[in-house]
Formats: sequence, C-alpha cells, structure tokens
Amino acid sequence: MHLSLMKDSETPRPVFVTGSYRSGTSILTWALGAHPHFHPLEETGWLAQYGTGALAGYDLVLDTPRNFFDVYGVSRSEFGAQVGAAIDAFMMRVSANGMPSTERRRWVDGTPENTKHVLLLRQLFPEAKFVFLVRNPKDTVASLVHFDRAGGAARSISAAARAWSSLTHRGLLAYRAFGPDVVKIVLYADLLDEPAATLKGIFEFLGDDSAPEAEAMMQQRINSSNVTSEEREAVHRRIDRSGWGKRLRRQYDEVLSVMAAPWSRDEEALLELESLQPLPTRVLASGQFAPLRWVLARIRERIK
Amino acid sequence: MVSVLTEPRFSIERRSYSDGYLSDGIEWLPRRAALEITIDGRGLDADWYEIGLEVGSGPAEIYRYFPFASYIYVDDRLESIVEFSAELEDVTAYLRVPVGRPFSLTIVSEVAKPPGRNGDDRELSLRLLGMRALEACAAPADRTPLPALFDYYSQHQVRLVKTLPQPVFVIGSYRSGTSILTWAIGQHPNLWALEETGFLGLLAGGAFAGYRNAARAPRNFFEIYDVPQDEFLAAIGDGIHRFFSRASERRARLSDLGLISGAPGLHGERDQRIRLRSEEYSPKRRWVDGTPENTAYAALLRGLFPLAKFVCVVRHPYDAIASMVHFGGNREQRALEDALNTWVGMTNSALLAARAFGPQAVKIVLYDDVVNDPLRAMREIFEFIGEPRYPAAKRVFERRINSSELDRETRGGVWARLEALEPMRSPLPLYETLVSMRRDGWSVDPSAEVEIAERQNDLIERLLCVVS
Repeated sequence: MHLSLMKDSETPRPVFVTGSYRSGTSILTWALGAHPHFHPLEETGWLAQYGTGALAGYDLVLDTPRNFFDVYGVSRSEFGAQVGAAIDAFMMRVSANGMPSTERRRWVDGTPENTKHVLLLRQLFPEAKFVFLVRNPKDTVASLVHFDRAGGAARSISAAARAWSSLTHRGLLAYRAFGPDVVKIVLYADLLDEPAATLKGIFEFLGDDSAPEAEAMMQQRINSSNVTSEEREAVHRRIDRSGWGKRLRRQYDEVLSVMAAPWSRDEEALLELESLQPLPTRVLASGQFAPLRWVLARIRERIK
Repeated sequence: MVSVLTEPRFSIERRSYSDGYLSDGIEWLPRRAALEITIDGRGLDADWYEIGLEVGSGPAEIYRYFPFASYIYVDDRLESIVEFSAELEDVTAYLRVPVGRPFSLTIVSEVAKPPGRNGDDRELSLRLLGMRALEACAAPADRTPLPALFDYYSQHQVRLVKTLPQPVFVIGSYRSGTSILTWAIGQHPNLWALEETGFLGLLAGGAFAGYRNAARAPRNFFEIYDVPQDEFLAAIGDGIHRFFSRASERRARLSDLGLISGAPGLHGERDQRIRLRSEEYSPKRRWVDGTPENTAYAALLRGLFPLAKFVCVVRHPYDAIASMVHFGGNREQRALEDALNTWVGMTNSALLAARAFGPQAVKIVLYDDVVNDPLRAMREIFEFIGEPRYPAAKRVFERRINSSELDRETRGGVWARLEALEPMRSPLPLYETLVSMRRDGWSVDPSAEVEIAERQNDLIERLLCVVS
C-alpha cells in the first residue's frame, strides 16, 4: 500500500516556453498567459539553482543506510514533486499577489535558460509541458547582436551563435528524450505567419482550448530589438564569414527533419541530458567548505 | 487532603468540586480542575517558587486509553504537560508559581470517567497527592510566539507566507548526544522528531543560489514581484515544513496500519509515544531535526526558518573524540587525528552560530548536564524553545541509543593521547569557551555574523558555478 503525499488535483502543471534567447519566448509566454487558465510569469531564473540544490541534497544522503528518505519511504521522484508543489504554491501566490485564483491554476515561465534544465524541471514538475520555440538562427543572432536596443546585453556574432546552438541542441535533446507529449517544437516563423493556428496547436498540446485573448496578445510586439532589414543582412554576411553559417544551418535543418519524422524514444539523448545535470559530487567536489568534507567523509565511512 | 511536605505553606481554595469528594480518603480531580492557591510568602525572600505538584492516575477502567496527557496551567500559562502511561502511576509536575498572591492552578486531562458510571457520581480523572516546595526560582519568561510572529510579519512585510514554521535544530559535533536529545525533544506533545535529514543544507544553498542568480538580472523576477530574499526563503521553508508534515503523517498512518515495521526509530519497535498528535484532533506543530551536519549550515537553515531555535549540544572533547574513534567497531576506526579535526571543525561552526545568532536563537547545552540531570536539562530546553514543560521526555534517557560503548581502558588511552597534544592543538580551550558562554551568557557578535555569511557564500557560489 502506498499513500501518496499529494492529491492528483494538487499536481502542478506548469508550462515552460523554452528556446534560444530572442526566439519569441517572451511574446509566446505573455500570449499563453493571456488565456484565462494561465498565469504568465516574469522570467524566473532561479528554478534550476534551487532544484539542483534540493535534488543534490537527496542524492547526497541516498547512499547512507537508514537515511531520511528510506525511513519515510520517499522516492526521488516523489521528493522532486514535493519540491515542485511548493514552488507551484509560491508561484501561484506571487503571480496573484498573495491571493491565488481558482481559475488560473497553471503558470507559464519563459526563461530561455530553462531550455538547459528540462530534465531537472521534469523531476520537479512531472506533469509540466515544454514549448520549444525555434527561430531561424541567423535572425536570432542578428537580434542578439542588437539586443542592447531591447534592454539586454549585445553579443558578439560568435557568442550569439554559440548561445543559439547550445540552447537549440539542449531543446532538441529534450524532445528526443521525452517526445511530443512533453515537448512541442514550434517554429517562430509559424507563430508569426499563422498565429491563430499555431496557438491553437499549442493549446491542444497543453490540453486546453484556445482563447481570443491569447491571439490578441500575439498582435503586440514586445521586447523587440527593432533590427532593420539592412542590419539583418549585414549580420547574416558576418555570420557566413565567421564560419558559423553552415553549422547553424545544419542544426536548423536537423530541427526541421526531427519535426517531420515520427518520434521514437532516444535513449542516448536521455543519457546525454543526464550527464549534463549537475550531481552533488560536482557541487561539492572542490573548494574550501570544510563542513562538506565532513559530510562526504561520513558518507564514505558508512558506505564501507 | 493536600499534604504540605515542606515550608512554605499552601492554602487551597477548591472551586471545582465539593468536600464530599474526599470521603474515600483520595482527593480526586475532575477532567478539568481549577484550584486557587496562595503560597504564604512570609519569611521568604523570593517572588517565585518552584513547587512539585504530585498527581497520579487511577485504576485503568477510568480511562479510555493510555498514555494520556494532563495539561497544567499556572494562571493562564501552560506550564507543564504530564503524561500517564499506566494505571496508578504517580508523577511530579514542576511548576513555577508566584509567592504571596493567589494564583490559579488549572489541570486539564485528556480522559476521565464521566459522572454517574459505576455507581460513582463524581467525574474522576487524577488523584491529587500533594505539593512540595522546592526552591526559589526566576519568574518565567514570556512565551509569546504569536506576537513574535506578528512582529516578524510587520517588520518583513510578509505577504506570501501565512505561517512561519518554528523548527528546532539540535546541532553539535558527532557523538555528542545529538540523537538522544533530538528524540527527547521529540517526545513533547507539540514537537515530533525527524530522522536525520541530511539534505537541508544543500537544499537551502540551492534556494540562496537561485535567488542570487535571478537577482543579478537588471529587471528580475524578485524585483518585479517585490519579493525580498527573506520572504522567498521563508516560502521555501514553508514548503519544506509541509513536506515534513505530510511525510511524517504518512509514516505514522502506515505504522498504525501495521504496514511498515518498527517505524518511529527510537528503539526499532513500534512506539506509540512517537506520534504526530498530542491529542486526537491536535497535531504536533513543530519538528526537531538532529542532523549533526546542520551545524555547518546553520546560517542557511536560519534563512529558510527565521524562527528556528538551535540547541547546541557540547560534549567534553576527549569523550566525544574517543567515541568517534571507536564508533562502529574496530573495523571502521576513525583515526584520532580525523576525529580531533572533525570535533574542532564542527564545534567551531557551532560556536560561530551561537555568536552570530545570540542566545535568543541558540542554547548551549552540555552533554554532561543532560546525562546527569535530564529532567532539569529538558526543562531548560523546553523553556528556551517556548514550550511548556514535559517531564516525561526524560524517559528517553532511561535507554541509551546509538551508543558506542567504551571500556574504561580504551577511553583512558584516548584521553592520554589527547592530553599529550601540544597546547596549540588541544581542543580544550574551545570547549571551555562554550562552557563559559553557557555559564555567563553572551550577546550577538557582529563579526561572527559576517564570518558565517562568508562561509555560506562558498556553497552558494559553487552551486551557481555548477548550475550555470
């Protein structure tokens, strides 16, 4: 007999809009958040750090005999879900200024860095959905190069290209590992060209009906770098000269072909995601924090 | 009759029952008994006195269940909770009472025989056996958790956390009695003992790191939603508190159903005293965690639980080190040097926490005092954490747990080697510092606050580095 620590109705079902910077993550977050069942959140930027600390704590004590989690019969997934439920409660209070709404039960977070932490976020929120936005890499780089116009930090060509490449790689890994029920790939171009149909598809993926409020929000242009077509062309030429052009194109084509092909679970992708997730040993590995050395020494002793 | 064993004299006015109840020679108390008592203070140079109130349970048929608790109030202050595990059991409740003015003594028991049953028209709950005057004592400190919470809310403008947990952390070096003290505190009707958690430090470090990471951005989440770090961390602490409540509740239910063996962990067998409810509908509200490693993370934990209390148990270093060296048997001997360094490192961390947080948040407890007079030690600890006295907690000390038995010869050998250390390496000065702080008191040291913040930085930065 196993009694759950959480009722099904309490299970958080957040939405993460992932993808590279300057790929429309903000506008899509606000569009989804305009739906009466969703709360749009400002970019969080703290979930990965907190989640890593919490799960590293779990892993740290796991090997000790008669550890807390053994005694209370709490599995890693259950612990992660409990941490996620507490975060969910916090988000609901924050977004509603302390007065959670009964209608808006799901929140949307569009922090691009979350793209690197899909595995971790799924451990905290097993029912989470991920919308992975992919924009043409050259346009993304052009926007990042001029990001200072939208209040961000302008990047060099190579830094911008590396950012797109790295986040897109991670996002695609997540899709390959978890599939279309968990990760939906959305092309930025589709979002711009056919907003109503694209939003409808996204809401279907999220298990909800589309809402006119979301489409209306898509008409607004927020947080834009305001790059002219001449400037964009100039950046494209510089990308080609830098050697990044072919590589970015190949990666973008890969996204398109993965989208077109039927999905089957890719164990290697999952392994790669796991290898990229910080482990407690890496958290604790070095440094002068003496108490952690006692912890490790004690664990080693118990393992013997 | 109430017998007065020593001076000063008591005079008692009975309000809740008539003299007719005394006819069988036993002074019975009903389920709720209110007495008005005056201690004649003539010739006494004290405003407060400690008295021993002796009460006993009656025959088993009076009660619906054992163990049951009786709550003893002096005026309106819940002063002590006594527990009866069997019929015809006598216990003494130690109470601080005012001298020279009347005060009310109210005794409320969980169970009683209702009037009219078994041919007796009295409501019978406890036998009142007597009172003894013990010694002059200090006036009890105010115990006002609600105003404290209110102050916290007003100072910090907390919007997001409706209740702030008030856990207790037992900290100190390994082999210093942290386990037994944790279980003893966890006997209290308002506290339950957790198994050693071990993960809170990293989790708290992650919360700090998350806040720091987000707050670096110019227009960040916390700024936009106007969530200061204190409030964010308290919300995380609240989530952990809920997790502990749920996990403990589940474990208790499974144990009650006989679906998990042993359960509560004190002696391996099922122990109904380790429970999550003080009464049927009255859950315990606070938990105590005795993970020794928490000593290193005290500042991080205080961030998550700003109202936490830390009980810092300190054992004579020679004994603690001797116990560490031999804990687990000969195969796993910890080298003396390692044990010495560990004791010094952990005790230094405990000292730092005491200096940084001050005596409001940290109580230094000497292991020897706990062993020699557990009743008094537990009374002081409950006073410190703002809970009424609970003398039954001392039952834990009647059985030793997690003990490394040391024969006299081995202990002597370790002592001799430690005595031979050069003075610079001796752990004794550190021990003596804590002993004198306990004896003379201390106040918050701002330099310690800075130092403890710097130490926690190391973990936070490392987490940030790894995650980014």
